[in-house]
Amino acid sequence: MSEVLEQSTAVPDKLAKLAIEKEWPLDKVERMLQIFSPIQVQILLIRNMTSDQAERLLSGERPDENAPLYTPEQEAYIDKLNKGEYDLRWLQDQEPNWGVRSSLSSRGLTLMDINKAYAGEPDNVAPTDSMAPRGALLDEEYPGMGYSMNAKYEVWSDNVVPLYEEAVSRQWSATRDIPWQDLKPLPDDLERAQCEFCTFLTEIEMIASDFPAKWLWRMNQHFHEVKMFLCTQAMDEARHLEVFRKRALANGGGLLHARAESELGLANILHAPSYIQGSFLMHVVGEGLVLDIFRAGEFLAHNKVEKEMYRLCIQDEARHVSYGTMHLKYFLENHPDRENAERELHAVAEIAERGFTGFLCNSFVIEPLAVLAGGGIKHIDKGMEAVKLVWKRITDEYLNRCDLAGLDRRSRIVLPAEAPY
Amino acid sequence: MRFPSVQWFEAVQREADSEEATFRRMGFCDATMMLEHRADEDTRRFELAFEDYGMTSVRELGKSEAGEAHFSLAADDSVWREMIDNIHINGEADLEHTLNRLQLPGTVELVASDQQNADLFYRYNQTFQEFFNLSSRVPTEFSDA
Repeated sequence: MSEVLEQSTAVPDKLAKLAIEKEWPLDKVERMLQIFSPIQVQILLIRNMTSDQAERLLSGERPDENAPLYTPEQEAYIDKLNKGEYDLRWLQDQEPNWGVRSSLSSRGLTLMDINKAYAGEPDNVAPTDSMAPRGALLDEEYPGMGYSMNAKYEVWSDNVVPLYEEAVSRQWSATRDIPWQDLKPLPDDLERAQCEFCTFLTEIEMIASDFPAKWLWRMNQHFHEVKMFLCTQAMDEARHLEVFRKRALANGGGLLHARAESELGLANILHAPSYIQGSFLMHVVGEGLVLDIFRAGEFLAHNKVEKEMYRLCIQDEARHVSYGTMHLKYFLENHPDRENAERELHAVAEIAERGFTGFLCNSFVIEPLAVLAGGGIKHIDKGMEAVKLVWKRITDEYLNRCDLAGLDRRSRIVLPAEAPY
Repeated sequence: MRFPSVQWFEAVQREADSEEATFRRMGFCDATMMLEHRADEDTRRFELAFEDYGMTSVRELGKSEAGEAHFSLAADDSVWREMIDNIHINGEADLEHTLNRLQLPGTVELVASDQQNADLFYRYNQTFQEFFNLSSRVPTEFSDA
């Protein structure tokens, strides 16, 4: 048996009502719910499967040959079709956007173009709990997706629609777009430094796939642009894992040492109790830090391969940071209780800023950087000057992003402006 | 072609036009950059608007004109000259003369009204780099040549 997620045998009211109507004993429904989801049981009930047929299913056998395939409505429709009659209600619906024609922009048909034509701005609160497209009609009765994030301020940012288009447009391939053929052997200390750095990046990058994936299904489909953008982010991070893993293994080095400190930072993001906390930790703090680390990687590159891979990753990471910063801004500006929201985020920032040190005081991160910057282990002291510069950039830009979002960390930040070493 | 000048940037864009497929593959770029060239007492500023897949307009700003750039890249004449010379010699910027390499330590100064605008330099970095790399094909003279 595979792992079961959040399974409950409590019979939902709607399902109990349907079971009674179809003459199924409730204890049978409870037993069904040990194996199946309420939706799966509902699919059987609305097809008029009998209690005995369900019993056979429970015992692992196929229901008898008379077990129904169609719902009564489907059977009636099939009868109609066989008489040469059609339903055609879809042709009579009064679609609210019928007749709307979107104009093209210079780059093709963008989401901005179709949003401008119709249903551009989502409502502040999602009108349904369904996957019905924004702007479409929906049946009165539907099962419900169980979304928990139904308010716009919980997920939205004002730049998310163009960011999605940009993300799709600027995709790249770690196989095709990196000039791997130009990779040449490096002295052992430089190769080891690059491989240790790439091990670290391979380890941390896909947290920015896992975290949005964890929250995606909880976001109401009314805000589909946010979900679409987060899908591009998940793909970006998969590619980052790919490119850094490839670099570590491509030139005679290999994957080296992953540290518990990094794992702690990643777990802090993944297990954040709310999306805004996790988004702040990941998009603003974590990816802001990684953006500057990528910039340092490009700065320190010893060949075109590294130059190109860091440059391409910089672009992806900057998009994610941009969404996160503007989401934080939107969240605070539209939160019904801004004072409390700010208080909570300041508390999270206190923890997050302490988390910075897990990377910036981690010898397996900063010493490889210093060796790459110095041009070898002999000049590690010189290279530490570049590390100090990265520290300053990271803290400066973090504060700038918080300023922009309206979260004043400048007077509260626990990190020193200059590196303590 | 004299650097910096409107004609020089337009000549680079003409080279970019001939590499349309490359720029399309790199994706959309929506940002307006100001390049500031500092030489003794004379500072000149050029506003380069990038839209869709390349630079769509360039103009020199008046002395007191603020312009509409999202961010500016500012450096002394010697820095720009070394970068462009390097691109000419190598056909593209070598490891030590990429825009990011020059900007991170502040050799080229990145200035923006806020971090979101500054981050555009990072978001479209490959497009900007490829654009300047194509100056390798533009015969270039400098002011004192």
